[in-house]
Amino acid sequence: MKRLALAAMMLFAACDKQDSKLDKVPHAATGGAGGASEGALRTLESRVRTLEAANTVVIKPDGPDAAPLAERMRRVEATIVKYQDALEFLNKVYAQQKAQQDQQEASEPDPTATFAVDIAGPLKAGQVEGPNSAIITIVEAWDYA
Amino acid sequence: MNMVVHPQVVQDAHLLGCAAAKQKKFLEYKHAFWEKGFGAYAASGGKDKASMGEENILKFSAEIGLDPAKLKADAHGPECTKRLEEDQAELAKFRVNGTPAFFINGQFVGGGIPKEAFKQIIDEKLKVAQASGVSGAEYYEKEIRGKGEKQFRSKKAGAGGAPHQ
Repeated sequence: MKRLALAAMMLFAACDKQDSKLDKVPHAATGGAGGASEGALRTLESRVRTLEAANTVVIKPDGPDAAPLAERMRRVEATIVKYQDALEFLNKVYAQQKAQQDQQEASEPDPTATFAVDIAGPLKAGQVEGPNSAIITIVEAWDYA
Repeated sequence: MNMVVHPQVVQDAHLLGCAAAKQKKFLEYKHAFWEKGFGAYAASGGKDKASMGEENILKFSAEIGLDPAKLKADAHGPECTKRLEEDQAELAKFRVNGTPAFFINGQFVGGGIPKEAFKQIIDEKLKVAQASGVSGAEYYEKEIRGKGEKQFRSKKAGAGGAPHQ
């Protein structure tokens, strides 16, 4: 029995060693603590509303900010029109270069690939340098011997 | 291992090389051709095309102990003609259309590259081959022929693909 009690105490001590994070959350049923939390939430909501109000720009068509904004928009549009030709040209050049690059890459062998060239013919014919047991095989393609 | 891409340029040299191999003197022939055939052609700035022609090749082949009559007969026989065609067909599968070109344990190397770059590739391939535990006699057939690409694969198609080691 003593042993059991000791074990139960140790277990309890182990469980009690670290507080749960939930322990600090007040329960609604506990009364006072719940009221404090509602109050804190209300304060937070109020602060968020104040911040929203301070950062919302409302531009009315006839308001004081309308003219500068319209003017800025007009300038942006003018700039776009001014550079439209250049942008179209650049797009064409880019498309051409991309197509060329794609074509070139499509014609180049994959540098990471291992190509299984059949060497049985040259081996059988004796067109070989070095022993057939060599661990490195170099296939040479020449336009001269 | 020697293969030919454009036999029309050096058809005589390749056919006679095949014939020299039949007399067990491929290496001697190859070295002599580099020196007295292509070497002479290159030294003339490409003017002396006759140095790579059959007449000159037969001449220096006799000097290295080849039987010129047999060499000529074998070179124009069906076996060597077929060999040439087979080489071309095999290289065409991998779209080798320029020379020199090499495959070092299956890795394509196009054009001339510095000796050090060659050495680096060979050293890398050597490490991979030694780590495989496969014997030299079996390595090419088992690891390169057995697991490698059987035809051309482009750089574009290969992007993202798993490299074979």
